[in-house]
Amino acid sequence: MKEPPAKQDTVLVIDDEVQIRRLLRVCLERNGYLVIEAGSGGEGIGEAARCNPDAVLLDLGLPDMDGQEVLKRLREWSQTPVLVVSVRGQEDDKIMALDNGANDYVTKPFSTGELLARLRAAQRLARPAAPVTVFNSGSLKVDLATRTVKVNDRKVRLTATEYALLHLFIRHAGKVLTHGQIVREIWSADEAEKTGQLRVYMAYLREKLEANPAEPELLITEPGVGYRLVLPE
Amino acid sequence: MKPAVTDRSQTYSRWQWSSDGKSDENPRQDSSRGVSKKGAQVRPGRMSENVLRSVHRRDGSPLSQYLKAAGTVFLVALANFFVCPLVGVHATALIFLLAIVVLALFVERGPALLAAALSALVWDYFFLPPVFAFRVSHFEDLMLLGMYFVVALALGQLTSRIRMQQETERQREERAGALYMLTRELSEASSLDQMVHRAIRQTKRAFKAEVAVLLEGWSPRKTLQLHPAGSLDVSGEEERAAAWVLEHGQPAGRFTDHCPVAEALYVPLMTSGRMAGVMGLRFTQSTPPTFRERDLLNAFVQQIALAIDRHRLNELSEKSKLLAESERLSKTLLNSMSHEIRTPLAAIKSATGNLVEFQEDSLSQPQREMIAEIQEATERLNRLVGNVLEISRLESGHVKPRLHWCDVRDLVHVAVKETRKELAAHKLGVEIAADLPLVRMDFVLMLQALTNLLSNAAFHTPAGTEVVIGARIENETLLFTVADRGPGIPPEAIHRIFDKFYRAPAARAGGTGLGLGLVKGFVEAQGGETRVENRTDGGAVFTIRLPARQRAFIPAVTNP
Repeated sequence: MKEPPAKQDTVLVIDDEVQIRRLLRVCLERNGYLVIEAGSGGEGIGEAARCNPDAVLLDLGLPDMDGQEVLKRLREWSQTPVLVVSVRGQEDDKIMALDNGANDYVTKPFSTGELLARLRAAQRLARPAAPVTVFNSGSLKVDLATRTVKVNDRKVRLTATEYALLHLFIRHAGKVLTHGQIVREIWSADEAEKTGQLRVYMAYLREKLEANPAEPELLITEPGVGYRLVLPE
Repeated sequence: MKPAVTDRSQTYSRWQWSSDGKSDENPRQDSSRGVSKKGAQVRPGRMSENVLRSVHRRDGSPLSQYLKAAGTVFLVALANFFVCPLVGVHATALIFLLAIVVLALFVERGPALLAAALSALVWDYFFLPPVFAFRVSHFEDLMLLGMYFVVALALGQLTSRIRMQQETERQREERAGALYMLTRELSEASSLDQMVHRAIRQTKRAFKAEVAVLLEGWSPRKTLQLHPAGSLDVSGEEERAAAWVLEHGQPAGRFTDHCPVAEALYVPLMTSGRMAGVMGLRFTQSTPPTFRERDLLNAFVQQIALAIDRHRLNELSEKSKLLAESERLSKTLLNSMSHEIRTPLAAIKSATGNLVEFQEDSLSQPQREMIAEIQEATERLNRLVGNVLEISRLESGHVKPRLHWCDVRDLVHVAVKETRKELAAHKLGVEIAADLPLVRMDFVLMLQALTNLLSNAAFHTPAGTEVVIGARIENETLLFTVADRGPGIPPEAIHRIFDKFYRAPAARAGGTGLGLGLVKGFVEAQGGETRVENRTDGGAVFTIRLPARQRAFIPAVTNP
């Protein structure tokens, strides 16, 4: 966990609180990242354009402009992974940030380990990797080429919708998907119409994939926001 | 006393007054009554008399008019004695005619006719030969005398008609003037108090009556509050009449079918079916108000009710504007509060986390324990801040539940996961009915409610005891239960335990009394209810009931 990444990745921290920036710098530098700080949204956008960071930590409560606005502006030209850091526990803000192109979020106060894990996951997803044909996480093994799903090496049969749902999660493994995003992707419908169906299919999927469906460890509920497929560490 | 008419639908524009047959709908007849306040009861149909009276009021009593007519004839006769030798008998007849014409312009038909008769007699007796005898020898002379009456009648009729029109005009003008004054005064009033003051003043002036206004209050139920500006004392029978008016939206009190023993007449201040209050008038006269007066009173009452209603609407819109502003303010405040408090908390948590991670090997056991203490305190403070923010969000009505179809099993699982640390020392059981349907609720609010219940159980029951969270459907109601084996709830606390800031007498020190208040707030925001009971075999059960009448569409999937 402490060994630095092969190449030193740059992380841009956009936060108006000096104390938080200082702490994040200590924590990130210790984990092998190069840290650039920005104290306002405008400065953040400028820094992002100047040094093209490998990841951005963005606070939503900025003095000069709304964090959502910064996110939108960044997304106009950059696909760099953005992790939203917010004190607001409000689910709406999280959903909005995710819809605006954020890769993930952490809610203050967060633990260092949680932040680093999310950051790594976001970066991994953003990096163009060789096309994966086999997905592995815990007891789950999915061969995307042959569409075979195995749990503890036992083949599991999924319906078309269930497989589509699982496939969607695998494509975004480790990242939270909002209810709206999933419903739009799978049913091409409005969120409100299909949330019920989504819940039911999630229950079915868990029934088939989880060791204990009542305490899922693969498909995690993010309360009020959506679901996340846990990536193997 | 006849039963009162209680049909409200048609009453606000024109009320039904007493129904003893005296009420009539002919404004012309009434118009004459309008000016004869002091006269005895006038039955409809005797118009001439009324018309006369309406004029008498301005031009003196009937007697003086007759005297005037007789005097005029006398004077003209006297003058004719002197001019007769100069101009001749027939010219004097024309002078008499002239006098009648002139007189008829100023007096009523009766005196004019009297003048005509007197003139005819005087002329015939004193001027027309044979003098001092009532004899008419020529047909022309007879025609001349007949003409007196025709002229007197025709002119009298004409004048009285003009008079009547004038009178009507005058009354109309008075009415318009009074109404204009009222509306102007009302529209210039800046407060409800001033408005009522002015309404009372104008009504008093227009109706020469003692006036009281009773406004409708709402505490604790429909009540009437006598406005201090009124000059009429409303109590006893009067108050009963006023209360009846409020309830039925119909006039009551004097001159009506209901409560006629009351001294004053009470009319509803009502616009488009909305009651603003009741107005009472004690007239100086003892006769029922005439049509014209009622009409004016109707108009007055409408205007006053409209003004009060408008004022109330204004107040309401002002209030809602204020409310929106305060909502915006408190939202800003909440956001900045949560930012200001949680940022240092985040710093503490992150710093201690770094400390543990970076110095893992060099930390002594006591140091590690200290850091763990800091972390736990930070967590607790963070939860407290969260609860305070949530309760103020609830208080200010900012919590708007978003109802979606939710998986109850998933909800319970997440709640258990989030409180696992706190409940580590307890034996936690989960009992979820197998066939739970999807239920419409706000997942996040329910999650907070359940975690608060579980935290509450963890905090108030001894370590090692059992805590069981359950969910089941009963009579189209979703029931969540959190049952513990703690000391139970003191009986006096059972009904208050969900009140915010309330802490049961023997509760363990350290809680804020916020957690259960939040549970109640969140659940009630979704149309549910909370309850707590002591178990017969020890411990307490907290229950959340949520309506689950609707059923979600469940996709037909064959599931092996």
